[in-house]
Amino acid sequence: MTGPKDPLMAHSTNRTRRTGFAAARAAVTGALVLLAAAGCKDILQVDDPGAILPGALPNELGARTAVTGAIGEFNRAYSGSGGDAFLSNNANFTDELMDSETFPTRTATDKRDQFPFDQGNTTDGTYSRLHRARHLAVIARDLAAQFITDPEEQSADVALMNAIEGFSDVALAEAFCSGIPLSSVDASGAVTFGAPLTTDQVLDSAIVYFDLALAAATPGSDEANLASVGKGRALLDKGDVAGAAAAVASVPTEFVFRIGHSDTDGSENNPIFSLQLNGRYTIVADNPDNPAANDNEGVNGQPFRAANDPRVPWKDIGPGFDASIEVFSDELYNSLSEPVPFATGVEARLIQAEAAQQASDASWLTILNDLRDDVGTLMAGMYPNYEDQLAGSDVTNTTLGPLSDPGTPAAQLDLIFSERAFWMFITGHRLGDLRRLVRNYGRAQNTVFPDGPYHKGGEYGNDVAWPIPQEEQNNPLWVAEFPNGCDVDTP
Amino acid sequence: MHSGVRRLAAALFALAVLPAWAAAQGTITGKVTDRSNQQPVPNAQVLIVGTTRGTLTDDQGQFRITGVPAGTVQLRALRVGYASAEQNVTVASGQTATADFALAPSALTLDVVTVNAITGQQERRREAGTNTSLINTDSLNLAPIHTFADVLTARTTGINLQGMAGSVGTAQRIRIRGANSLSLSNEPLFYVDGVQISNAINANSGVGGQEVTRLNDIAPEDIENVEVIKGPAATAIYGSAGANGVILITTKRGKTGKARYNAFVEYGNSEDRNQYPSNFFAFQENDGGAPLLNPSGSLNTTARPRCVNGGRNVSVARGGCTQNGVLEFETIRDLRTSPFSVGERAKYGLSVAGGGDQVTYFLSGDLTRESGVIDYNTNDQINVRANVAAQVNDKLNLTATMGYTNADQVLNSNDNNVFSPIINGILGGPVFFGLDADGNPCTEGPTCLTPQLRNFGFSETNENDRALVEKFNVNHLTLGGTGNYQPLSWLTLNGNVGVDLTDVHDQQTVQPFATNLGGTFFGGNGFRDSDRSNNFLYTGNASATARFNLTPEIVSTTTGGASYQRARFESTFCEGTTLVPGANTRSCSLTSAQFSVAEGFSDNITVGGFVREQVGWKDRLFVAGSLRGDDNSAFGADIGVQYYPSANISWVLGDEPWFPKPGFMNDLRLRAAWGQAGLRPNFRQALDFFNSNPVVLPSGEEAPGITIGGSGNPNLKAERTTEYELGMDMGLFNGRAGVDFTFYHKRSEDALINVPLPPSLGVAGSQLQNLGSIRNQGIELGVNATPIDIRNFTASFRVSATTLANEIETLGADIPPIVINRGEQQHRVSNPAGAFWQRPFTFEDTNGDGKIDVNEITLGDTVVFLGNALPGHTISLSADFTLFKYVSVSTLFDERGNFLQENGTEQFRCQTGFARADRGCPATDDPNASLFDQARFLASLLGTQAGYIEDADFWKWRELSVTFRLPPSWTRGISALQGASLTVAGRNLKTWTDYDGLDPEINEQGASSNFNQNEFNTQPQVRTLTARLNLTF
Repeated sequence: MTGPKDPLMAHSTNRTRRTGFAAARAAVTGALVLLAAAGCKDILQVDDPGAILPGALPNELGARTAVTGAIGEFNRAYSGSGGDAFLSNNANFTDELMDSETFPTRTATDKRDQFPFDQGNTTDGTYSRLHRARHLAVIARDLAAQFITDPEEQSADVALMNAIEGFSDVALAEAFCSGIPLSSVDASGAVTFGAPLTTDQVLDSAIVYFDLALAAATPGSDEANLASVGKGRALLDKGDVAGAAAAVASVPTEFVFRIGHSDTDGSENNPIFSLQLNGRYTIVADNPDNPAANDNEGVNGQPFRAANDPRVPWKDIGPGFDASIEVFSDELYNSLSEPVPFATGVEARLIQAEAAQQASDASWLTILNDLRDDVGTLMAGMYPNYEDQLAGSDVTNTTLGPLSDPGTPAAQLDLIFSERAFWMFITGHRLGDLRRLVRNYGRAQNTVFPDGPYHKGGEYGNDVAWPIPQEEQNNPLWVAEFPNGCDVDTP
Repeated sequence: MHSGVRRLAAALFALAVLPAWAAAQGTITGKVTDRSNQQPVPNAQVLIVGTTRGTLTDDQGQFRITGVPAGTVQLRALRVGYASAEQNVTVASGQTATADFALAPSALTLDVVTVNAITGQQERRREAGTNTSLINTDSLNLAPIHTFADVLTARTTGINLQGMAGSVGTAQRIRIRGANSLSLSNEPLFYVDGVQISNAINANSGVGGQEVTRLNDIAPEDIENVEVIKGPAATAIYGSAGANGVILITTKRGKTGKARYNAFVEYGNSEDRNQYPSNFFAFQENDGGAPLLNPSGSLNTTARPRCVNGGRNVSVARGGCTQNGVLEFETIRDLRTSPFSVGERAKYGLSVAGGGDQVTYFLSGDLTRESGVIDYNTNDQINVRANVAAQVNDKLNLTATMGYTNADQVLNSNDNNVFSPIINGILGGPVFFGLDADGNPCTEGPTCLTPQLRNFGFSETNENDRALVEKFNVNHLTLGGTGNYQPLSWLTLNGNVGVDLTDVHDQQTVQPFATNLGGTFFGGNGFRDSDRSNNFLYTGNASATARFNLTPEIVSTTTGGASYQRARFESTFCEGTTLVPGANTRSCSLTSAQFSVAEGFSDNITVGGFVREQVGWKDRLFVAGSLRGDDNSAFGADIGVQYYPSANISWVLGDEPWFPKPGFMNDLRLRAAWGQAGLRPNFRQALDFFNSNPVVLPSGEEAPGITIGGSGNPNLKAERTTEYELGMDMGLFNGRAGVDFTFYHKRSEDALINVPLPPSLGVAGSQLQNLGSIRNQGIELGVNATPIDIRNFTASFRVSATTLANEIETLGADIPPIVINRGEQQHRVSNPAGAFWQRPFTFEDTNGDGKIDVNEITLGDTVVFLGNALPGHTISLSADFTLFKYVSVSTLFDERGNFLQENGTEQFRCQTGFARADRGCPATDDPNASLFDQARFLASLLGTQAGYIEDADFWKWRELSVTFRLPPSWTRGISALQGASLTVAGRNLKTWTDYDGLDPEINEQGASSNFNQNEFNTQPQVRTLTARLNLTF
């Protein structure tokens, strides 16, 4: 078109078009109003009996439900979730269990050769659930502080919620690669993205929460002991062995804090039994591609089966899910409802033993042997059905003899880590320990993690940590630093 | 009911029955014949123009319309395959006028009439600017058609059915003009006689992959026609749910005249004729004299070890061992281990149609009993239909429709399930691991008949697989009522209401010690789960249409109305273990361990208002526009009414006297359309909420707790898809050929992207946000031709071709590619939705030893685009031949091209076999395996599945049927018999493809996957042969 446009014409045409559209809109809207009037006022109102809206929580009952919810969320993250929890991934990644099924992601985890972070791994869910446990613990703690009227109950709940926050941080730090963000959403829904934190920084966050828990808890209470063990574990991870020993000094040896499981809801099942029920994981099995590792997964593993140790009662239950290898089940978890002793006085003593050994204090061996001398009682304290479990297993030893000093500091340390491996078998501690050996004690990763030919073909990889999943790239602070994911080869 | 509504209903009823309106009426009768051969034309529509009055001709081509107002009316006769004809008829009060029509055959039919499910208006094809497809079942031979999906498959342009497994009763994925949404369902809407029906799949307990669908409750025999409305340009009036297209199913109606009975008996079988791979075991001969099996029955791998130490074929490459021998066995095909048998299908049906001047009826019932090639995959189904139409007076007609289905279906475990008979066979042993009559291990011989567990991949025998089936008891009822009232010559009021109720009981029961499952699975104590669900879908529409002749040549049609849809779902689930041995109980209440219960619920309501204006000039140029506004219960709190406009134009250029039609052309229409439609979000997606979960406290007590439910988006609104299409229709060679051509372009904006939230926030994993846009465009070409039509021979052909180019234009700022299907498919900007992406690999047998080692494989650094998951083009070819009037032959071929599918079956087989000591696949154990096969397997171990993502282009010979109709002279002695025919038909007769898996058309997740395209031990399609006898009384 040439020549100037007629602004009046343009306006008129536009107005006519708009007027016509507006009339149609008015007619349509009128029809909607009529329809609403003919029916009822809230014609679009739908019932939703199956959801809990946030407005239902700010009261005393709601606060209790939130506290319970946070416990449940942590249970699922640490030791539930239909199998792919922190506990089971931890055992599969390390020498505690071998993969005997067909899911590629679980095989990749067992092989320490995980998929790239943007292709998904079996540990991704663990990462999300641990953060959910953190988030719910904060919601529940604040609700408990505001609405629970009984001071004793309130202090216990506040302490427990802080401890859960702390243990969530510890689990994240022990398993995932350095660079973990701790984001938050407040009660109004406002989002604060967390910047990537180093492993030590995440452990520092955990220690802050354990200190808050200790401040709120009644001294000597279960919550106080739980926070003490948590603080000791975090300090140990940081390499502050003496600080860790001090933190757990007051914890009685018989203390046990369990994660409960249920045989009803699948996410509340004991994950090890849940998976071994179908033959998906096994304690060290024969490796046809590497007979040298028949008793020790990847050569470096502990001889959990061959040791015939009453702390690891196992049983031959036949071919695995993929029918490739024989499955030897962990009889400590022989039902869906078997609880997991995830923080104990035994752990406190083991921390003290390590601190003593590092301080060249000969009491380290005494501590270990005192525990061994009392194995039946301590195991029964940790596992309510221990006697039946041991009796039903293929393990014949019921007692443990005393250990002798192997002489060198390195061998002493190996012995302590071995004792930790047996005492805390499949309780979620093993990966943290193996990474500590590399990070804090300077061992090479291929001397502590499973290594060499893998039983399903190929070789073990070099991964020593789990990748932070791709979804975290939606955190602008994280993606700015880790556009290609974090480093899973660095302890 | 609201008092206002009651008053309105009463007023309408009073108007309807006013006797004064019934005065001065007459009747029109007549016959419709084929001008070319003077044969009667059954099922032709005969309509009084400008009214809702009309009828269908009977088998003799005769019709009768009563209650016609005295005076002159314009009568129109039309039928697909013929040019329409009109004549003025003068009716005297109390008299009968006669009007006969001789219709000229025409491959292009512009005057076929369909009914809009929302406005209730009758619409002629010539008036619409869009390309809708009409499938008339009376032009189909029903013998090779077993399900509603078979009616839709390869019949027309623009619609594509994928993922059809060979299991009885399973669902399929239906896409019209591609996929609009990454996060919401891409399935179209379905209406039966104006009532929206659910096409939700049911697989609550799950058998591993495939699911059942309620779409197949519609008996093909009951369908009059199926109209496929393809995109927003045509579906804007359907509002917030119409973006994926709409399929309107019209069932049969009665005709004035004496009762006419149709009976049929159908019997057929099905066979799995697919190629299954053998299982291999390559070994090094250390002791040739040793028996093949150990005393325990396992392979004697001491005498004949498999190459180990890093691999099988690959270990040979490394010099690890020598392959002196190979064992090979077809577990799936060997009669001692095969899960397959010949499936059977029997179907019996009877219908009656007839009626008087005021009331007509169509009643039908049929019974199907079917078992698949896995003999415990069964479907026993009863369908009943009753359609009644009443011409209350010359102003008011009412129609009531009812369809009911009762089905008992059993699905075997399939796809990703260790109790799948296919997975157990495909991962089977390399030799028959048998036991002889004395229980001694054996591999061959006349008494070596009993298979050991190790024959089967997961040690699950056919008997165990049989024990883990899922049963569905279904009651499905669809009720509808329609009224058309014409109080004034220019005004019509239309209304319809309906409800679709689906009651499904989905259950599994394994009795204690019923199998050798004990020990690991279910502890041998039995297992039970039960899921009872009810799906309620309510439809209500009301509209008024005013039609005026603005001038003698210009007709204005204005429609306004309101629409209501509600989808409500409820379910109760329970499960438990440890049943009472020997009591054969099937109740959760009699389980005694691991008991749990759950309830499901969702509810979604849409209310809409609409206006539509159409102006027609000389019945050859039509311009129309519409606007629909919707509000929906799932929209975010901050979102108001959403508006969906449309406009279209249709110009029958061939009717213009000035148009210089070349000699070969006898008709031409140009059309264009533009419109918008939506896809609404689902229940709760706009809300923040918590769920409840039982929690075991440290004390051991259980208590209720909350867990994160959803992180809602208060600004959530419907996706909006805008489409335009341009096209033309041509009639050629005196009606012997017709061509329709359409270009379409769709763009979805505000596409709902399931945005992953950073897990470190500790909230829900994702949140739907209106961020993306997706484009689909392509062309549709249909050609009909009857090149030969002579006295004793007629040949007709139909070609339908569609292309599709799909691309994600935006995903939202900073949204990384969305990874699906175990990391093998991705949604990436500027690429097709759900396309395959993997790291590429190359290989070279550098040392020339015929074996590939990992060091001879080079892996790419990053993933690259491999290809589409949705077919880029489809072609169907059909042909019908008639010999001597009494013999007809029909056939149908179907092509899909330019897409890939993952051969997950072979990848998994090799991966699993690699880890086992006594079996493998060709890539691992066949010394003659191709280098590519070896390389793709080793590359999969290195982290890329690119070698198993295969070109899935195929041609299939879908149908062949031969029908013999008895000449009337043969049945002259049987007075009641009006006609009889016998058909022999086959379905899925042959596949041509380069795809290496079981079937390029099947999909691990059946209909439930939006984009996943992965064959994973899925039952491939089976060949069926059917004989069908039709009798008319």
